[in-house]
Amino acid sequence: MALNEEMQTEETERHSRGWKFTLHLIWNNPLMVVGLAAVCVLFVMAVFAPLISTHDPFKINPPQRLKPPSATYLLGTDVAGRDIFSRIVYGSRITLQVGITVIILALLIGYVFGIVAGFFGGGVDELFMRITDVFMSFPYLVLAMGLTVALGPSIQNAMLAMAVVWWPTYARLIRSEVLKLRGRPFIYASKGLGATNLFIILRHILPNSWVPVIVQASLDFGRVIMYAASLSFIGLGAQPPTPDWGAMISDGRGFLEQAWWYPTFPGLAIMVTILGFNLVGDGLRDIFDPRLRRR
Amino acid sequence: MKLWAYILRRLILIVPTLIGVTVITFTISRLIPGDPIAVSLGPYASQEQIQFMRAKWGLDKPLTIQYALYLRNLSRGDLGVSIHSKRSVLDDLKDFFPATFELTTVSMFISIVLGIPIGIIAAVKKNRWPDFVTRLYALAGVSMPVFWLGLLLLLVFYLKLGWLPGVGRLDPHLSPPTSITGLYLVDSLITANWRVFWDALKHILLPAFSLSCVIMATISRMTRASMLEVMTENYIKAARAKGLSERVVIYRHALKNSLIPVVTIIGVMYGVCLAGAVLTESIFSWPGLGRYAVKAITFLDLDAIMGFTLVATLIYVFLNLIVDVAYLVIDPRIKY
Repeated sequence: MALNEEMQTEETERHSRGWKFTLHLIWNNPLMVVGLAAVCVLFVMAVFAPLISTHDPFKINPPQRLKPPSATYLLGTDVAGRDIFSRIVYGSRITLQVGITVIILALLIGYVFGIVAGFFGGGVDELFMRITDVFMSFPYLVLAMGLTVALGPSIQNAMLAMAVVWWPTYARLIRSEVLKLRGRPFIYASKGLGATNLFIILRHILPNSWVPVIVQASLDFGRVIMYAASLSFIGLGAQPPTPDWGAMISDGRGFLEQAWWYPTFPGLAIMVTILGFNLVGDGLRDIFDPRLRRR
Repeated sequence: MKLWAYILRRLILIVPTLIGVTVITFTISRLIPGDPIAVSLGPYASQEQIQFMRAKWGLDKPLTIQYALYLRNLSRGDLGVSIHSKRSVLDDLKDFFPATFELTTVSMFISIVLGIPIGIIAAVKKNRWPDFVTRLYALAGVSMPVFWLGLLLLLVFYLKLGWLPGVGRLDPHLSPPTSITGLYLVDSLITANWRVFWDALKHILLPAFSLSCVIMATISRMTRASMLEVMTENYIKAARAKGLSERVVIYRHALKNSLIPVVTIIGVMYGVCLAGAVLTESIFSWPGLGRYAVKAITFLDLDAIMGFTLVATLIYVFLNLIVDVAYLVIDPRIKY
């Protein structure tokens, strides 16, 4: 009993040191701090959009169309006289919503397939690998395009299509994690004690396999946003008058000569967002890298 | 001889992948809500046309038969008819392919020719300013939407500075070179038509650069990482120890061995390039497959889009095969 308690305190101590160490690692990675700042700004924009925006993002005001950036219209106005800054602020909600939904959907499908294939192996696994092979032999954007057209262009269908394109990456990653864990002694021990497969999966496989998955997901976040913007740009994502960044660039491209600010600023917002998530993803990968940890 | 056996085996292994790909494209083309035939023929189709198409695709028969018919039509090169151009999708794709091939090849060329040296410089000057500059460029490069970069280049170099033409493959006053390969740059070179060559080159620069930005960034980072890894190997120490100049060590010993992972990424990048072409071409009015696909999307021209999807995927699958074969050529140690 005493020994058990001692082990427990030691465990918590190691954990708290671990967290402090993690914070220390984050702080010493300036690029990750920059990335985290960009991501925080995005979340703040999304949550406090009504407070931050200076105008109604949907309010059409024809006399004020295509006005250059000024004190009233921080980033200028678009073809309908709507304030571009406010539309960008509200657009952050859509960007985050798309990124989170697609990643979660893809993770859910990926987990189910990855665990089933990795845990049970054999013919199921073989079949599963061939299925992911087929999905991965499509260029991502092209398959997402085809799917969205067939389902009908809308932001929901674009998200669904992207999740369908994305899940094989996660399924494979999770499968390989499960394969690594499956042969470990503690799994055998658990089986020997009479644990059911479901218990082993929930209690042992899931908690021990999430780190590489989180790293991959954070690295993918930027790419999902990029693909979503691309789909919106070719008219397959958010439909007007939704303040979607990709759709705003698409609307603004015709006015490049008269109103350079129109497509430029939404694109800048996309770039900063993706850069932020990429930096965070890179940073997380370094932090969870055991070679770096042991240093 | 072994190489041929390997290529043959890989070609045979492609068959199940292709079957899987057609199953997916078949499923997608059956996904559309409502009557697929009515949708694919557009709103002005007559009742007879609908009946004819129904019989052709066997829509009254079970799904497995429908799939078999789909495969039969595909094997005859029948990808359906585009609602927009009213022509067979295969003919359309054939017409638009050379422009895309030219654009993607030139941008891959730019990315490789600039990306690898940039990577080498970053590796050699590790943690000094050239390394930081390329890192910054690589980070920005992969975060920029390709269509946005295209618009910015268009704004600066075409609209503001007027240095380069912004739309199309050729000045409308010039007539295209005699079609031999369909690639303007090659055809004008063969026929020694310098004016057309020069004009075509100027037209391809902006779209090719906007496409190559991401790819160049990826290739240069990959080259850097791979070079740094190779530079720690013992044979590099040995080469230095026997008094070879740093130039020879880097270019003759390190570079050759660090190219293997770079080749993989180049194969993958060609696929990225193809997808990027969809976005870039529509910005620069480049008359290729990508612009065709985007136009098809605006008209919800399903046959055309599925045709494009299938062709793009085929190119992608074969590219991966070429990459795998390239490994064997670059690194004789790899055995399959």
